[in-house]
Amino acid sequence: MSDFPQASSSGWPIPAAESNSGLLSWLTTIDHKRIGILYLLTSLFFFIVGGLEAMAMRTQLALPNLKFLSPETYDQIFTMHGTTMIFLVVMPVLIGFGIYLVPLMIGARDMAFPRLNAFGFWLLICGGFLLYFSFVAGGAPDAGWFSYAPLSEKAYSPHAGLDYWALGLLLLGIGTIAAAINFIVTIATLRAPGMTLRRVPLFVWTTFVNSILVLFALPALNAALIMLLMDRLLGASFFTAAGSPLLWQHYFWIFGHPEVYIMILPAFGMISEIIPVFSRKPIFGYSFVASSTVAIAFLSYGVWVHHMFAVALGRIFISIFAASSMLIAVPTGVKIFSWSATMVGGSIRFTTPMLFAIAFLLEFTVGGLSGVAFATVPIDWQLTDTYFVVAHFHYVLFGGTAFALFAGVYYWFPKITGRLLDETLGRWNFWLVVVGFNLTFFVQHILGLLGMPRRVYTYPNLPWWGALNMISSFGAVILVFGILVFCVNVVISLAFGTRAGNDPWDAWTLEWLTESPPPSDNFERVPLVRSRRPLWDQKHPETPDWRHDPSEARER
Amino acid sequence: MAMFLLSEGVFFFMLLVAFVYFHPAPLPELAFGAGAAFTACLTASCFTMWRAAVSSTRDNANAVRGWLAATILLGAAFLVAQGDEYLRLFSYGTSEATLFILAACHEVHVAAGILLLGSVFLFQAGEFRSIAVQTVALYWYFVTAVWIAIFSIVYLWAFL
Repeated sequence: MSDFPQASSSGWPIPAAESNSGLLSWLTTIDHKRIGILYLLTSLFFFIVGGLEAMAMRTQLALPNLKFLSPETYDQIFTMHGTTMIFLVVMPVLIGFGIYLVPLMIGARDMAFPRLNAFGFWLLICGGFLLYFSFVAGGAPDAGWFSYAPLSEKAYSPHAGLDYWALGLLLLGIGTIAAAINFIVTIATLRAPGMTLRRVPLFVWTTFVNSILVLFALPALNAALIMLLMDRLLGASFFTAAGSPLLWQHYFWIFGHPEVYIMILPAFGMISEIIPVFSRKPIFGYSFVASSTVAIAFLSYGVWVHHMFAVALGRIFISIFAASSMLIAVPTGVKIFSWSATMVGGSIRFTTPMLFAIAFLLEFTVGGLSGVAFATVPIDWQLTDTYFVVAHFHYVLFGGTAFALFAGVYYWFPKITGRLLDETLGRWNFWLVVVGFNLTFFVQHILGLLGMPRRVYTYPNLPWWGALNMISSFGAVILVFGILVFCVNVVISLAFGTRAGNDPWDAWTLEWLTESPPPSDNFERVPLVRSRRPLWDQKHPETPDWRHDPSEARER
Repeated sequence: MAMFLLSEGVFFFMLLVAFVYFHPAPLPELAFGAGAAFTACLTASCFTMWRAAVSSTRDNANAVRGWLAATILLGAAFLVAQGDEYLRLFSYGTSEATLFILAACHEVHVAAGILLLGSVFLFQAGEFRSIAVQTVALYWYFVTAVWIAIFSIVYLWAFL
């Protein structure tokens, strides 16, 4: 087994900061590990802000006819909660994990464009700042996170909040596209010797496909935002009554549907890394997981109208999209089967990351089922804009992405910081979050079926509405405690956690080869990669993957 | 650069779709002759850019600088002339927002391209087989292609 010295990632020498510690070195860093950590810390900060917004909402909704928040304030809070969680939490945290892990997983020294990397991060900060500045500049945006026209037009929303929303999102969108370009070029060109695209870790695969999704979806949002700004600031009429408010919906959802896949694919990748390691079995059906990811990417551009079934668009037109929306459930189902099949016959280790990963399988399946229910048009007509939708997307985004992220944090924290997170606190974290999350959101399915609309600041005292909302708010309190335990765990473990070695989980991908935390150049030497589990091959030279797997042996 | 251009391509495509969707009535003030002349300008700059890229692969630094300068001049001519044309249209009271958004976004991209060309001219033209020249060339071809698409859909459609 031959080793190679680390190749430099570009023809030009990478400039480095003069000192390695101190605030200035962090502010001027172009090291992917530091930028990744900056992304993760920023998204944690905004997660807490968004969570406080959610708690404000749940407090207001705990009892019927409550007046804790005025309707105007409530509108701003739910708009900012959605916008924050999507654009300032989920997307940055997934990008941040990718920026940290992808070069390590492919055996590279850094991303292909380190300065573009930093640029993307600072755009995140600027965009987030601009968005939140609106609170002190005449009011936050209050037209919902998707700001439908004509409500978002000057005639109905004269204050500047929506201008801040559009500008903030433009900046964030440019940063995301920059990160996507960086990922594509890095994964295409900087892989270790022998690491073909069919041997990269699945997290790298999903990040790669995700970046292509970003490349084609975000520009649609940018175009729509510029047109909205022209409407609001320059008196154009793209989306006013004189123009076409419906066009906003089309443009937004052409972005919006791929966006939700952008928010879940890297989480799928994380789960694909974690479940095999803690089942002590390689992933079942690697090719199926990879190709179903590509299928999801293609299909995601053909389903956007399912967000608009309640607009009178014509039977045949919406039937096509109903069919495509049912079809897109299939590749995700393939993945659920692959993960489950990986666990069957394996020797499961119930560590905290594995607990979150197993919970992910169950919660995401529930969310996926409620989603595919919406593909049936009459069901959608009844349930659109009710709490059933709210329940659905929280199951896929929190029960799905957030649970996968918890699993990922527990799994990769030792690599990033050199210390393990505490298992006892981890279990408390896990159970509080699971109980709290399900209490909060499961009852919202029922509320939606009972007819409670979303985005209302209060509701009348109809049978069961008060009780179910109270249960939901109570669940939210438990969820908050779970997240508090998580934060405490992070802080305590950073100071006093057990030191982790290079490879505390006995895992198989290249990031576990190097030290924890990795040195600035990542790897001393990179092994020749001959299979999908290069570390397994190194640790078990008598039974390497490439000798036993016939598909591996063919791929030299 | 190719990846970036893919995403910018989607962006301009969405704006063009909006233009086609709103299908504004043909503007009588649109001067086809002037538009065609400036299009020739930009296409010529595309040719000079190509020559600059080829000279760069042959390490002919002086030729690179020469062709780059020509590209910058032709691009600037297009920018100024087309901008003047839009101001004229605007003063007529043409408020066709879909046209102006296409025009404004394209001009911004041309202007950014000229800045890029300028910086490559100053710092990279002498480099051995400079990849910067090839990369900027890609960008400039894209800008020209987008203009040809805009010109065809806006000007030619109005007159056919």
